[in-house]
Amino acid sequence: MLSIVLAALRARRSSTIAVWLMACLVVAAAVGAPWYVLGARERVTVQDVADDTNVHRMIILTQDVTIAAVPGETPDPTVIDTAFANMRSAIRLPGAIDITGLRVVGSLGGRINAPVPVAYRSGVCDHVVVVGRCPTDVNDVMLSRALAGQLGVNVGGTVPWPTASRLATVPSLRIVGLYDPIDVENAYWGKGLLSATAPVGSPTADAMFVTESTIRADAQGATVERLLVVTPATVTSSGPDALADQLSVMVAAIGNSFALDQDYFPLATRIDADLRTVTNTVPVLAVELILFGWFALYLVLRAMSAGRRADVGLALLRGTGRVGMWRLFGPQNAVPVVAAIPFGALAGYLVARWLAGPVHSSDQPVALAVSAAAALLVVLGALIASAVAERASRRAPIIDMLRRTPARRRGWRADAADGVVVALALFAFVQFKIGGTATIGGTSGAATPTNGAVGVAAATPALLAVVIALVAARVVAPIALRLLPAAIRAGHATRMLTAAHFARRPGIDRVFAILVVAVALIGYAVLGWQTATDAAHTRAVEQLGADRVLQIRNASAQRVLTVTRAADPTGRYAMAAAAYPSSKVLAVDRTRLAAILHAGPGWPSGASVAAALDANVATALRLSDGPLRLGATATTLPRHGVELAVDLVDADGVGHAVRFGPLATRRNTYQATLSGCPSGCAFVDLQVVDALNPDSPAGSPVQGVSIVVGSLEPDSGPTGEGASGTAASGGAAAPSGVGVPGGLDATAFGDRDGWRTSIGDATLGPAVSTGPDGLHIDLPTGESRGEFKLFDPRVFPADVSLPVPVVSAGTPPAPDRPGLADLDVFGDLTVPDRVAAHVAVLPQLGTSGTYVDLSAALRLDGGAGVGAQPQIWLRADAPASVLARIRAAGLVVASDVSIGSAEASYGRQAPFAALRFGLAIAVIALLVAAIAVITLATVERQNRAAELGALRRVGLAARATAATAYATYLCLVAAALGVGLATVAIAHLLVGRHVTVFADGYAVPPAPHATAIGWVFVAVASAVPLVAAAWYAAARLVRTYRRVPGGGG
Amino acid sequence: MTKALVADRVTVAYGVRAPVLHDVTVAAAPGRVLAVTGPSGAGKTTLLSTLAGLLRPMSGTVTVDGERVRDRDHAVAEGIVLVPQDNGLAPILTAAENVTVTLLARGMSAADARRATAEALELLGLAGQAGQLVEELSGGQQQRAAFARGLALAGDVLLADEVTSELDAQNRQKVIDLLLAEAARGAAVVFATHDAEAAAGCHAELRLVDGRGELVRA
Repeated sequence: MLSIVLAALRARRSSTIAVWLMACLVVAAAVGAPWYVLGARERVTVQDVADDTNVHRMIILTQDVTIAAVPGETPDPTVIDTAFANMRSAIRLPGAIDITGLRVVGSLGGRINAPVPVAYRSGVCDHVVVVGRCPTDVNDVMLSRALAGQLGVNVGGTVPWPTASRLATVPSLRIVGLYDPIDVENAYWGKGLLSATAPVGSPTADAMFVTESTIRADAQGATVERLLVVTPATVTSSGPDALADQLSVMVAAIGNSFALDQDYFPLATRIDADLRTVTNTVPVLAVELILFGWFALYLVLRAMSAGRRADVGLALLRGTGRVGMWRLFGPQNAVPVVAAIPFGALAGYLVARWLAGPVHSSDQPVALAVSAAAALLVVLGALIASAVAERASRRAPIIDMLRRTPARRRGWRADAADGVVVALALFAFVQFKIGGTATIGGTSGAATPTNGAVGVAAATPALLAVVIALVAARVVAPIALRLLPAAIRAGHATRMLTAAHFARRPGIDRVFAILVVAVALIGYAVLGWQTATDAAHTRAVEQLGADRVLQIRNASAQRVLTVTRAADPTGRYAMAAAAYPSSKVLAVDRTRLAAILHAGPGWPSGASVAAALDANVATALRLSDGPLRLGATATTLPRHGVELAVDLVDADGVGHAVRFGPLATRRNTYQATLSGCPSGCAFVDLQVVDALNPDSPAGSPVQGVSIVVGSLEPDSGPTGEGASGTAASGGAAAPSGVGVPGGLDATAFGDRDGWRTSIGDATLGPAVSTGPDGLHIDLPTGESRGEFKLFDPRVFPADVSLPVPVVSAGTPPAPDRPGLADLDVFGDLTVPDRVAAHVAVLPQLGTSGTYVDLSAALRLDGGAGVGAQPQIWLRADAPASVLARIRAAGLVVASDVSIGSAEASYGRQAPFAALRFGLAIAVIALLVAAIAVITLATVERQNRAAELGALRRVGLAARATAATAYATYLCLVAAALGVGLATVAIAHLLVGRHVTVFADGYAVPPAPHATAIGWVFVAVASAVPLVAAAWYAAARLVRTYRRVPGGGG
Repeated sequence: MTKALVADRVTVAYGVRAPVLHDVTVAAAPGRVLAVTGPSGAGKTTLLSTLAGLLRPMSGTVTVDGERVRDRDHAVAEGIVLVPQDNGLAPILTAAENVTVTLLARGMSAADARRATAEALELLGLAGQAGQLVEELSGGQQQRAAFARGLALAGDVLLADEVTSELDAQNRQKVIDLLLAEAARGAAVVFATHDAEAAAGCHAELRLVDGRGELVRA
């Protein structure tokens, strides 16, 4: 019996190999899916961790301990050990960076205004470059070079402990080394140890590093710290699930034992969403392919059984029993299917590993078990399909079995199966419409962080394709039957034979359905990929606004503006910007916006935005170091002395003030000396301040003052009053004289349009008026001020047009007002605005936010812009020297993101992992379909060759005969391509518009759409393998019938 | 319509095997029916295939009106019609479609092809089976359908290979009468048969024995 089976397999070698190949592909998909899921989950999680900011990856436990209750008491260092032990037992994260530390914070006074940490930190010497050596002994200290420079000390010298640092004694520390951090952005540094990474507004001096024993011996108390940094290794050590679970459990268990500083939630949420996306999507895709493969295998095996029906008929005629029949014919189908297991499994594993990376060792047993079960399931299903196919072919009468062309008849079972599939698809579609979303591309839906709808809805696109394919397949034969007489009437023999083939060849409708589904799968997957990558690009462009964006951490917006302009004097490559996230405002250097802003959907050109943002900013008066002279007349003064303060800001955004007075009740000239502005500082404002308490807070200012300010100029010698006044520069409504090196005279101070007080409804300023003698400033007494919320005594040059022009996205301004609700540019400064242009989208801000000119914002803010997050936008072709100059100026680049790197980052997220698997599945489906075409052609080849050979003998020309052979298969493929592409369009229309591309649910406006190039690629990608298969099948047929005598030529 | 088909000292072999026909010389003249007889395996089908341009002789020539027959397409162009022993019917086509497709392939207009098809099937008594698929026909009906196709082509030369082997006596006679009618139309008819009675009704007879031909009746 075995020899008969083997002989039968050899006799039908091509069909056997095709079935084996097809089974290999399906087994590969089934086996690969679990490995892909688990590999992708880990890879996606690792990527999430790697991509996220240090802030989200850091978990800091701290506890203040008392080492010695009173000064001089013997220290009890065990409290530190106890705290460390408790912290270690509280959280265990294998693979995380685990740093322990101690710190005390004090002040060194003098030029060091910021708090100074004295710290022990494990492994510090691995993260610094040291001149000298690391501290090893008690009272050894290592200073940063910057701090040492500020203190004027060096290695070998000493430095005192910072005061107010809870010391038992106050010893001097020996400076044994000076350090420079290798990478200030490294998460190792945590928070509060380096000045470069200290947030603006909360300065910190660079830490003084000592040994642990130093703090134990000297400090009365200290802060015990444990810093855990989640790394990709944490994921690979624990597994993606374990990380999220462990963290949530452990963080909850900490309770009030320690102070916990962590912002892990966004990362955990993202990881959770990504894991769910992969877990919910990939198996659905794999199941789809398995079902598709079963159907294809059933079809092919049935065709093979049909091809053997003459053998079956003869065996039945000879009285072979049922068992004998199964033994004779069953193995002919089973052998290639079973033989596919090892090859398919190996291929599936290797491809999954290639696409998704290795699976964590803890997950490997699961992957192995699931993939083995999946392989067995596939083979079992294939064998069942084989048995059903064999049984179906044997139900035919023996006379049918002996016919070359069996009768076409459809049983109720096939109709019922079609009905079930259609009902399932409709159910899925309804479910999808109710609340599901789908991963763009692939063939499936996927859970999103927002709804989690999966199940049948996830397979909607594929089921939709199946429905359309089945319906279309049912009309293939009727349409062909209608075309047949038309072909006869047209007198076209080839067309007639082709139509007859479609109308009467059994099984061709099922092949057609398979092809349609395969085309739909690949089309939907490819278009999904195209739209997803387009969306990723759009999002990258939208979130950056320029080819490359640097986030600057350690400088004010004013300094970043100055450095950027200096680094790129041409203005073609770099632009400074400043974000105010709390108010969704982005201030941009409009003078460079046209050159730097990346074109994108939904927003106008940089030139038009720049034009709209023109706030007519005047050039500021600049004063340099040296004596200044102020002419003023006070008419009313309080009993205590008052001064007139002039505030300035240098190019780095550092404020400077010079005070004149105390003011006297007469016309006088006051002198003062400006320092700290060797290169000039911009005049910001002037205000009357209490001579004894110049820093008195807003709300309790000087009262009862009336003065007239007549001049402000460098004191270059004895000159007449007002002699230094000069002509006005251009500008919004700047006072005369502003912008001219020198100063302001009475004419400039007397320009009423040139001065303003604090803006916004929430503040009240002094009464300001002008006259020929200059600027009149009146600060009424409290009784006469009425009700106000906040008093701001400053008087500003009106060097910016108000309301300030803005470009906004989102809600358009109300018709009865020129702008949005007052622009809260700096968190605490409300600025009246005017919407100069309203757009759909603004880069970095999306569909809601406001652009304002950076220079205008800085001027309104008083020059520094310390509340902003400064950025530098770069063009892709920016010379390296520009960035080098930026770095050389001392700016610390906190992050450097380009459009390409942002796209790549999105491409590593979970939806793209699902898309990749969807593409792989679609490619496999397409290959299965192509093999199905070849197999069915192989099975029928002998009969068709005989048929065409016979027609050839009776007079059909060689060209017509060959054309018939090719037309049959090519028309099949062409028709399937047409219907398949139409299916793609329908699926894309119904499902593709509701897809989620990003794990965080972000939707790119405008929604991504399939492009013409995408459609062309889909058509080519699906046509190439199918046309190749059809061509191969036809060529084999032609070669075969040409071997028939007379068939050649 | 006066083409004569001549085989001159034709030797035919399949591949490298021993020749099936040896130096066979025979002529089919217009207006006459030449019977080719002989036992099974004598080479009757081989001879007709050679005359039809399906097989290329090792030596000797086949000419139609003095022009050497190059291949089957040339033979078709010269009006050499073959009714093969296995009927040469396409199973996916009906009886009428089998006839029609051949006529269309020969360049006949659709209307003429339909009319000729109907007439030919009518002549063979298959008007009622015109719309049936070939495999739904009996062997005899299939044979008559194939012969009807040969008649419909109305060639200058008609090569009929065992076209009566599965027919009852009545239909066999009808086919023979139609062969004679074809000859009367002016066609040169070659009729391969192992039926001596059928051969007796023909104008001439070539007897093949072991691949060698002997003109027993001229």
